[in-house]
Amino acid sequence: MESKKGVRTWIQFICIAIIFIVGGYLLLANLFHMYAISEKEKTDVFYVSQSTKSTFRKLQNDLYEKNQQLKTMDHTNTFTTQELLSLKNYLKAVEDRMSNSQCLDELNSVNDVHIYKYLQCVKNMLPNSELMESISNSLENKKIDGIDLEEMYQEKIKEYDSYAGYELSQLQENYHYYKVTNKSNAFINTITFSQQYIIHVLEDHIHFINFLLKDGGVM
Amino acid sequence: MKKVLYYVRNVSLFIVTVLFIVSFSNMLNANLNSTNPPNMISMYFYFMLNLFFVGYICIEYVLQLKTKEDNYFQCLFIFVNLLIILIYGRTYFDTNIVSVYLNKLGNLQYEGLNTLFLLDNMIYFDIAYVFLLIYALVGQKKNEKNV
Repeated sequence: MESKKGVRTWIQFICIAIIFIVGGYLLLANLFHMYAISEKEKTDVFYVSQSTKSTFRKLQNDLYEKNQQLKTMDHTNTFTTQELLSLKNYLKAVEDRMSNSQCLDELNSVNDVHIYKYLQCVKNMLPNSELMESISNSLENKKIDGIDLEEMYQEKIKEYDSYAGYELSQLQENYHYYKVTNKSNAFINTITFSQQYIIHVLEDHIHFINFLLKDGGVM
Repeated sequence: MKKVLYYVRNVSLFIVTVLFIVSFSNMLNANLNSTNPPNMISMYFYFMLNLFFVGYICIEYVLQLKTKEDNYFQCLFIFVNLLIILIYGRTYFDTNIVSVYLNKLGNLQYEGLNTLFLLDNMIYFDIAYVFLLIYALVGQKKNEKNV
């Protein structure tokens, strides 16, 4: 009987220990997390590199010039007037969004909410997903110089929309809080990567216009 | 002192239960609106444990069980409930959490998203409650034998 009583006392002791360990962990984890994401934890102002900025501006000008050239065309060998018009409108929308965007400005701090706003801004640099989907559909079976335009568009341009959407959903659902040990670094990497990606998106759009210009005999 | 602890414990359980009921619909909303529906098992398990404790408190009062007089049990229970209240507070007011920030935007699309943070912590509530329950049951049995 005494041994049974002793076992029960031990079970109770273990229960108390586990409750305090779990509770203590929960308390400390939340306090550290609260501190980690508070405004106090500010990394120095995050500057965008001058080379990235100048490349972005140069590509923006290129896109503008190519769009102007595209305006003079009515149709190409591959696209009818109507199809070309929808592509022109799409490319003009991309140009407008890129020039109105402020995503390459300095970030005052790198915390979860700022990064979320930043990624949303980056995502908004591209036209909405529905328009991109319709452009992708209109490129179906279109080939210039043996290159499948739909495939190129899917791989090079639409991929970005999915990337930004994925990053946003990760942030939205708090996954970053638990899976990243050095959050500031992870966020800075995300920003740097997304800026490079914006540059690539611009390059790919210019590349795409070059195909159209070539197809229309302008280049 | 025993009475004070007893009442504080009951009040804290009442607060935790009310908070849970309030957030229950939000959690279900978050589940529906989310792009990746989260795992809700820990929430249902917590719901079950919470209901059980409400029942236990009633039975404890009616049958005058020994845990009613156990200061350790009351302190443990208060500790766990205070932690839960703290997490609920963060889940609704800490706008540095992205999902709380989004929820504060008032956009219907984000309704209930902030409870996802709560859901991430719920597994720890479950563990604490399970061991609290074991403590109560084992303690009760021990006291019965002693009588």
